[in-house]
Amino acid sequence: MARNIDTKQFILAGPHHGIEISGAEDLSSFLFELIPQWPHSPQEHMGPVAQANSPPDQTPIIIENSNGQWRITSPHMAQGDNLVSVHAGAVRVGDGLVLLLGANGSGKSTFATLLAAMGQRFFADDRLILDLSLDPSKNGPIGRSLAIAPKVRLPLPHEATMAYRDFVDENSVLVWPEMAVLRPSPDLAANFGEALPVRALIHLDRDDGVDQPDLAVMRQPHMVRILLEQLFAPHLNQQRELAACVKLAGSVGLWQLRYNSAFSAANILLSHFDDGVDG
Amino acid sequence: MSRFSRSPGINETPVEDELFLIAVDSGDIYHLDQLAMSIWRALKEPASQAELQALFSQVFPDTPPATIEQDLIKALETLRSDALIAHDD
Repeated sequence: MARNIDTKQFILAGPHHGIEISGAEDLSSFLFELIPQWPHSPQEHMGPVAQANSPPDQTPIIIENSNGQWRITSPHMAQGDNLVSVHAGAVRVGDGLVLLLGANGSGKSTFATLLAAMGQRFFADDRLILDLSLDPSKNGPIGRSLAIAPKVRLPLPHEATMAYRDFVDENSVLVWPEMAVLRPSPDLAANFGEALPVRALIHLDRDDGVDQPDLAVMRQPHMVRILLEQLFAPHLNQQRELAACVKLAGSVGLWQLRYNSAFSAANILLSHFDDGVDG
Repeated sequence: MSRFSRSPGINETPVEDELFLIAVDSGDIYHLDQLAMSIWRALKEPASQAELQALFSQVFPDTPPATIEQDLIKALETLRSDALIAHDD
């Protein structure tokens, strides 16, 4: 159940800086259902989170209500030279993360939660921090979970499996007519800051005209164009942001999944990437 | 003869066999299609439209000259409107 926290301002822990949330009175009763694991303290008490970042460098975060859906939009969560945030779902499949990219409505949340319901470890359905330092000891770019609670649209699609429906029911902590916020248990979902190497980027291309889902290699320039729209790094100039996109696209497998329904396409991802094939 | 030339302050980033350009001042990023990339590369040295057309006619001998001219004019105009190239008129 939602906690009743009556305050307007919070300090949350970002990867490197405290993050100030203000004007949070509308969110205060359920904010920590959306980001349940983020270390936090009321601003007036400047707790360990803020003290740990000395001097405190609080960057704003925006949580907006768009068509009844709460969305964390701030790109300011990435504050290191090699850190960027990316608008993507992420699930551990095999020995690394598979990132799911696409426009709003492309199926990121559905795939991420469906794969979680199928036993894969959930990392993100909307936003992830990436470390692009490419330290050889880290085995490629690293994805870090922000432990943002996944959301699914309601009602569920008619083709949703019973197992998926059970997963949503069992893990829902907030339910509106059009959306449910889930909190999968720690054995199913990554903790705040939990990190794994990224193995593949998959662009989700939903097409109602597709009979059979098709997973195909994507060319690097095409993925770079997509990343330019989905990667957020306001601390980098455009040249460095492009370089980050090129670096990421050049270091992992790149795929495009054309599909009609996630429920008929998820097995393709599992069978492909769970065998250690990463492009 | 008036000529086209690359605008100053444009950085190139090749990705595989394609090219992204960044306008340093504005920060705008452009992904060039094959024709635009060919024009950009041809404009390593300033060239007139006629010179570009002659070059592309050699490269694409099976393409009607009128088609090359039409595509060239359109691509040059796009590159110019994006301020990636300039015309010394």
